[in-house]
Amino acid sequence: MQKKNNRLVFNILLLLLLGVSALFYWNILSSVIAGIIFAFILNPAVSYIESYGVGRTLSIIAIYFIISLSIVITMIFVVPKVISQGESIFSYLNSSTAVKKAMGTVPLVEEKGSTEEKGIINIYLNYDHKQEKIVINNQGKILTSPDSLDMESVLITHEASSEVSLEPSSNPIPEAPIPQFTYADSLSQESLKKFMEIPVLSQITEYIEYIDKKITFIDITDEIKKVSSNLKEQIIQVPKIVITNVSRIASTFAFVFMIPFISFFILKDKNLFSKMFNTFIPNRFFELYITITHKISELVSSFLRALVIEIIIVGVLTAIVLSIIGVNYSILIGLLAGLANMVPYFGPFFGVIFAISSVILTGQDLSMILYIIFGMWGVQVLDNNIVYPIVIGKSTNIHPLYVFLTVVAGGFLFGVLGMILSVPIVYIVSEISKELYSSLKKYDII
Amino acid sequence: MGRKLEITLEFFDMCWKWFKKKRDALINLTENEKQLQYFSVFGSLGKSQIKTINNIIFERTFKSNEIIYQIGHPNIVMYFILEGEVDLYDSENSDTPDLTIERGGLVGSIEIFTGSTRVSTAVAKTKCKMLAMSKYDFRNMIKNNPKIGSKILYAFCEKYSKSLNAKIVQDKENAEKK
Repeated sequence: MQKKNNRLVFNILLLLLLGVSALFYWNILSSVIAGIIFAFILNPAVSYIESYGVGRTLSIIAIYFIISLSIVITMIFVVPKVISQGESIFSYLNSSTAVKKAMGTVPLVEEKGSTEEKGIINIYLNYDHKQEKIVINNQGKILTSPDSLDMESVLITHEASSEVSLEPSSNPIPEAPIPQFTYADSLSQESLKKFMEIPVLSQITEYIEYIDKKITFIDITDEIKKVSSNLKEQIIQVPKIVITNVSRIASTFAFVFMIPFISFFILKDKNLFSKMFNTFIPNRFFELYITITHKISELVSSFLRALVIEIIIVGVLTAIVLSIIGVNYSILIGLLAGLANMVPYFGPFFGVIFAISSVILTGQDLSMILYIIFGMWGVQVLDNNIVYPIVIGKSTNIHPLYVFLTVVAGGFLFGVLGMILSVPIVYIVSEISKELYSSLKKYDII
Repeated sequence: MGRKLEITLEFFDMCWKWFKKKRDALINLTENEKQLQYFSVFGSLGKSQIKTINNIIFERTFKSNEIIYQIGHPNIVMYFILEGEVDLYDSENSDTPDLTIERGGLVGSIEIFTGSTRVSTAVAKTKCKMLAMSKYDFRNMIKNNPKIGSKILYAFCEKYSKSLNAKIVQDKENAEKK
């Protein structure tokens, strides 16, 4: 009796200790969960390397090295394209009134005393210059014909557009619309001028200008000017941003660096943690506990791995298909479509909507929409019939209506994250419940 | 050329074995890990391999007369007896044990290979300290560490061959007596 009472007191104290620990570690709970998820995804790869006789720690380091290398390669080759496409689409959407005039959203205002064409603006649909440049005059007329492209050698972009006319022989225009320069603009321009006075840089500048004259369809000088002025402004802003958001930046860095750190130790000492938990399980439920934890681990890791592989495959396939069709921002849309694909049933539609929106907004040929629908349908066919069965291994066997309702309910409760996670969580919980029920029966517990 | 290559490979192999021996000598085993070496199935493993095995082993303690596993239940775990004695009953209603296994013995291993449910009931005769290894970890370990896996599986084959041989000899003797 005394022993039983002692055990009860010990259990209560243990629960209290657990409660206090939970409160203490509450703020880093998200990092720990992310670390566990990361470890779940990496575990098979680590085990695979281990199977070649490499030590576990060395296997983990090798996997971390491979991931770091992939991230660096992605940062060098893919991220700049995605960022430039993202910036490009935003600059396009927020571009000057001329674009709005062209789109008919702002009424054209007649200039006093002159009907001459003035205020010519070049708009780049893509900073890598693979896409066509749209040239718009002040009347909102889009000049994209081969003739207009030939004339680009005499056109200059936004900064000095007020001084240029389409007809070189015409009289100077007295009341050309002058773009609004801020103080920061003039400051950066002056800094740029001084910067360019350095002998080596001036030679480089001359050489670039020479190439620029030779290659008429790319405004290299103009692009460099734009980049340097933007860079100057951003550099000026950096200390201010850092000071005002120091806590946020610190917590983000901590979150990002804690995940691989936590998952490293989870991967290295996973058996140690499992041994620790095992000591608390009574002998009667020991084998049941082993069965259930094995089932959970198997389901979660296979689902997470499948999710990551599917995102990559669908993203790459979409980007390839859209590039073949000729849709602008194909890499960015591919990335978004891959991520959207995590949401069952709704996800693939998002990818199609992104692609169609891109075609409409950038004024591409509307017949492309048909190709997009066919292309994306092809991607889905490949995903559903080849990628998904190989990656998941077997069908989840959930009724489509149930999946649909789960996604909607998840969306109502937790937004996009709910839509993404609701189906895997419901699937895992239902499978565990089934396993638990059958195991409890098998062990004569119920 | 071929002979030279052979000699070079032999030399590297010798170096590697020497390095492994030295590395093993530097490894200090804990008390639990040292106890693992006493079991015949782990007898051929080196120190570093014993450490790997120890990662997937859980220590369990059973009181006297406590049921370890029951006939007809799923087979998930095999137990290595560190301390105490275990009685095995081949049928549910049997009062006398069909077999008693002592320290250094192994219970629940046959079902791990056959995949069937438990074929006997194991009850702790005295207070027992056992080392438990789940079939999932065991299979993963064989898959991920084929060298360790082959040594253990070979040891299991040896163990079961011996007991099968003993059974055949006993049956022969019984037949001759009759």
